[in-house]
Amino acid sequence: MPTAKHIEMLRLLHSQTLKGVTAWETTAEDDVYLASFPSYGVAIRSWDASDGTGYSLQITNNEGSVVAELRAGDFEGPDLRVSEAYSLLKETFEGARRIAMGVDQAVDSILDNLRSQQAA
Amino acid sequence: MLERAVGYVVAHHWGDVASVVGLPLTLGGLALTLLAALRARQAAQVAGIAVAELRSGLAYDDAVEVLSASIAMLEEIRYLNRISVRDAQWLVLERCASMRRKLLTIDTAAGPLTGSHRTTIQNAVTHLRRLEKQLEKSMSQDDAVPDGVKTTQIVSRLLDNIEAVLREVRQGTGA
Repeated sequence: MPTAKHIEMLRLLHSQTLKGVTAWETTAEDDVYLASFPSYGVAIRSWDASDGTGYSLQITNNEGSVVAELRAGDFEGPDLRVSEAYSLLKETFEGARRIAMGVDQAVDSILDNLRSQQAA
Repeated sequence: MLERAVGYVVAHHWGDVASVVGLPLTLGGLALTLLAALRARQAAQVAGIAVAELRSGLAYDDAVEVLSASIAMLEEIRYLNRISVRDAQWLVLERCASMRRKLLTIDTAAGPLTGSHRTTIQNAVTHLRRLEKQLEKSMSQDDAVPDGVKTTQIVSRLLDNIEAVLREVRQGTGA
C-alpha cells in the first residue's frame, strides 16, 4: 500500500521528468528506463496488458535490487485516485522515454536545420 | 595527648594557615588538571585527523583499485557479449555479479568520490543487477538470450562513465 511519501515521490518524479531535470536512460530491457541517485535508483516500465498498457515504478536499493514496485492500481485513496496515478505514471514513462532516447534534442536539432534552410 | 595537640593547633591558628595555603594549592591543581585535559583533547584531535587522513588515503587507493578492476571486467563483459556464445552467458552473469559486488565495497563515505561519482556507481550497480536478472531468467527458462546489441550499448556506456569517474578521481576533480 503506497504511503504519502510514495505519492509525493511519484508527483515529484513526474514534475521533474516533464521539466527535463531527471536524467533517465535506457536499459538493456525493452520499455524500461532508469534514473539513478547517489544510493538508490528508480526504473519506470511499461507492458502490454489485455486491458491496455500497464505502467509501474520500481525502486531499487544500493545493491541494484528492486525493493518496491508501484502500479496505478496500488493507489486508491483520498490523496491519489487510480486514474490520476495512471496518468502520472504514463506521462512520467513518456517523459522518461523522450529524455532517454534524446527525442527532444533530435527535434530541436532538426528544427534548427529546417529553420536555417528556410531562412537561406 | 590528642587534646593537647588539638589545643596547640587551635591556639596557633594552624587551621587558618592551612586554609590560606590550601586555596592557592587547590587553584594550582585545578589549573594543572585543565591544562592536562586541554593537551589530551588537542592530542586526540591530532590523532583523529591522522586517522581520517589515513582512512581517506586507504579509501582513495581502494576506489582507484576497484574502479580500475571494474573497467577491466566491463571490457571482458562487452567482449563476451559480443561473441554471443550461449555458454558465455554464464561468464557474463558471473562477471556482472563480481563487478557489482566489487563496486559495493567502495567506501563512499570516506573516499574521494563526489555525489556525481556515487550516482554513476549506483547507476552501474543497478544496470548490472538488472542484466543479471535478465540473464538468470533467460537461462533458467531456456529463453532467448537478452538483446546483445542493447546490452553492448549499455556496457559501453557504463565503461565510459566508470572511466570518467576514475579519471576525475585521479585528477581530484568532479562535480
